[in-house]
Amino acid sequence: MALSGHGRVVLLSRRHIWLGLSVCAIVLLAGAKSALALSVFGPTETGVPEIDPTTAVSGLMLCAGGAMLLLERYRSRK
Amino acid sequence: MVASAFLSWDVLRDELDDVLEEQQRSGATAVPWLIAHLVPLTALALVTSIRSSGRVLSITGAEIWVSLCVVLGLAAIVTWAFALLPPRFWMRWITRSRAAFAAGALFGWAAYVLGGFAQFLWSPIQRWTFATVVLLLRLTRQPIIVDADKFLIGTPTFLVRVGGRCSGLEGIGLICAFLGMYLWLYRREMHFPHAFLLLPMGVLAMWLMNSVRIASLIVIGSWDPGAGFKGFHSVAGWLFFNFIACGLIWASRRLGLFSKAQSVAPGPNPAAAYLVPMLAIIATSMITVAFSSGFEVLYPLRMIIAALALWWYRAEFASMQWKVSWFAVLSGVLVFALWIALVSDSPAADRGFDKALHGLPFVGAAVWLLFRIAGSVTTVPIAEELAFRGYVTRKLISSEFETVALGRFTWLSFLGSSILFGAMHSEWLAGTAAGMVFAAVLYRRGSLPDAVLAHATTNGLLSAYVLSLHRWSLWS
Repeated sequence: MALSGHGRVVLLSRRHIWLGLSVCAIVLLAGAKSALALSVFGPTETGVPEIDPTTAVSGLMLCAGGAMLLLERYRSRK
Repeated sequence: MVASAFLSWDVLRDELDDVLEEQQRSGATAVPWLIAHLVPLTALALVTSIRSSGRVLSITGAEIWVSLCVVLGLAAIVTWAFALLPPRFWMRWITRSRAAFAAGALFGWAAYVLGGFAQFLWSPIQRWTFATVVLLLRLTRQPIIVDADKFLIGTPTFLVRVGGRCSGLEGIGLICAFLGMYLWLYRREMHFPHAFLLLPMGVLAMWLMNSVRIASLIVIGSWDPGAGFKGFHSVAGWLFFNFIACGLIWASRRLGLFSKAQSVAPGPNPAAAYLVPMLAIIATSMITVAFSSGFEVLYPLRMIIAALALWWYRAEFASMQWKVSWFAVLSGVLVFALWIALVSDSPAADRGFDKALHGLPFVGAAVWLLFRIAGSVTTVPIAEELAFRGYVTRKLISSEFETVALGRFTWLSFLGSSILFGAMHSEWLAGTAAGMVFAAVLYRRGSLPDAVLAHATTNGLLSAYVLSLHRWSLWS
């Protein structure tokens, strides 16, 4: 169901103010440096350079993007 | 859970579309479930703060603490899931996908068993890898030092130990997972059982490339130990993995042995203009990091390559209306404020960056900063918006993304593209929030330039903030 531009923004703000609140609560939890929060949001250094999160994400994004590019090239179009 | 979601993707997509349309019609809100969610979440925050305050618990106390955390954590997750999507969605998805959930559980169990079995493979693969690295280095005719008992190999100036983790087993697992997903998603277009040949091909290629990686690390490390250890060591594995993964997909599409689609001649690629600029930035950054020792002195190359890619595809964007939108500018300011609020300080990283920048000659530092700022307000926002808002948002609506109008809204595309955008940034939470705002800017009037303007505003403000307060880590 397509919405008008204004309708989409209104809908987003109405729904996401609550989702936003929930996210804020998680941020607060992380900010409180609780043991659980630290284990989830805390330092992510693994000591293995290849599994360093920034490098790993770049590597995976490049792989996914490269694969999509190739698959789009060979996609049969209607 | 991931395997189940993957296997039941068609049902999941159907149910998501249905439930979200239903919610749009009824205007139902998630308030009761959010209130229910905040209760266990607050309790969890209180309970976990006991541990972080440094109090020592008795064994019984620790058991109660862990049990309480698990129960509250589960309650928080369930109520959050119900707030996000109503319980009937979860029930319908699970009921319609019983087989997928059973298969997902089986996959999880098999992965656990295989993980245990893989422990026995570390040692033999480590020995084979070591022997191959010795052979490769001997081919370079450099003077080498070898201690087979301790798995040490190198040159007089750079010595490495080929540990179990260097055996290539993790890369082999990754290529198997990647090819497994590819074969499953494109199963209707592949010739089976021939297509299964891709798996041993991938395993062998990954193992060989890992040996090439270690040999190259020693050669580069002998030339510049910093570049070898801090740069090449961290990204070379990913570059080789990408080379093999994309090479195998290309081969599978070109060869009739693997693919039924081989008879279809490749046509013009509508995704290229949207994806190539961002892929060029990521690939260039990985290559420049590989040859730098900590500080990415070759950053200007990123901007130059991205600018060339954008120039190459300029005709594709000629029809876009580039007009200043105050809504976009204000949204960019909002994202900047969000970013500053959510991203924590990293004084050590700031100091390291400061020291590296001051280590450059004055002109070199000025040119580097100029390219860094210009890149973050021009090529980066354009390339990222083309990829995430121009391509991903539409690809999540239809496989023929070019038939979907820019700015068409669905929940799956809005959330999916924003989460992916967040995942690409080291600050995933701030990144996801930024992705949501940029997507909202796009939806307002279906204009990609608006999203680019908002993104450029954020990056411009961040650059000013970084320069004025020397918070360089925000650029990492």
